Amino acid sequence: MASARLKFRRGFKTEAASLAHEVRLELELRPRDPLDPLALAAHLAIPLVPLTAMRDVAPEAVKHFCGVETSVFSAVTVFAGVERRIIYNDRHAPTRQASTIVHELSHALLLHPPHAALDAGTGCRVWHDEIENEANYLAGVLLVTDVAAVHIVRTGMATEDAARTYGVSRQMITYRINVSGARTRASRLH
Amino acid sequence: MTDKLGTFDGQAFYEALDATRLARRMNWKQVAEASGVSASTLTRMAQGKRPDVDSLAALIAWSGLKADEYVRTDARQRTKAEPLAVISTYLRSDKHLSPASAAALDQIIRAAYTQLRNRD
Repeated sequence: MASARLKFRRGFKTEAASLAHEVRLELELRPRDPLDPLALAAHLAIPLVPLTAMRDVAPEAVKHFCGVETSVFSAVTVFAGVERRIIYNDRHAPTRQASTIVHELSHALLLHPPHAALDAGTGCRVWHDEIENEANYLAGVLLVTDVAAVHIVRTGMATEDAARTYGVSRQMITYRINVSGARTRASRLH
Repeated sequence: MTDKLGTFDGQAFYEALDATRLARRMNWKQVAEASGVSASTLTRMAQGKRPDVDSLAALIAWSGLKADEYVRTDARQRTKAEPLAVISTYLRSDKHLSPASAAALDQIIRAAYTQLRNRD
């Protein structure tokens, strides 16, 4: 889970909050409503393809990620021209799938430029800290808004109950309560 | 119901917008800000969905493109670009991949890319 102390480019958190607010309004969601990742994908017209559906066209790869190395691959958005689809690991826990899918959709909403997944020379994965951290942060705000985080704290909702309500992991709830400053904000409301 | 006289070629329009963006050395985020069109609208357009009329007007105002040049009155086959040697992605995986996992990932990406290219 991304650290609360990550540094983002100036103005990013405000941009993310505004973007999440705009998109959730488009989905007709109130700030405390849970977000359905499938509904967001449909809204952005980005197809979601389960990894196991690729078993005819990539049999060894599906066998590898479903058998040998089950946790290393979460999702990939593949572009042909400007059009894209997301292949996600449907063998992961539903809460992990939810945050994975919203993370990928966050890249789309942030209009991040795509890049090669693997370095052609080394075969190692190409990693861009900044865009990964931005997508992580926006995904969190989309799934559990600041208002929702404050509500969880104010009502004393148990972490498990909050996780179930929002379809996310308990770690995500804890992370969102921390980064949103929900405890401080909730205490100011009394 | 009679067939429409013309249809809007959204994909060609989006590609022209992309070329305009590149010529002006802008990223898509800057295009969204300059035109006032939402990120979700631009994403949907990239996926082949048509924008609403106001978003279209805003993008035309920003780009200077002429909308009537993207009205098609005949059924035209779009030519496909050559397959890419390096495929563009966003990737969510462990930072450090074993050679076997990297090879498996490469297979997934190429298969998905082929499916996307051959979709029409």
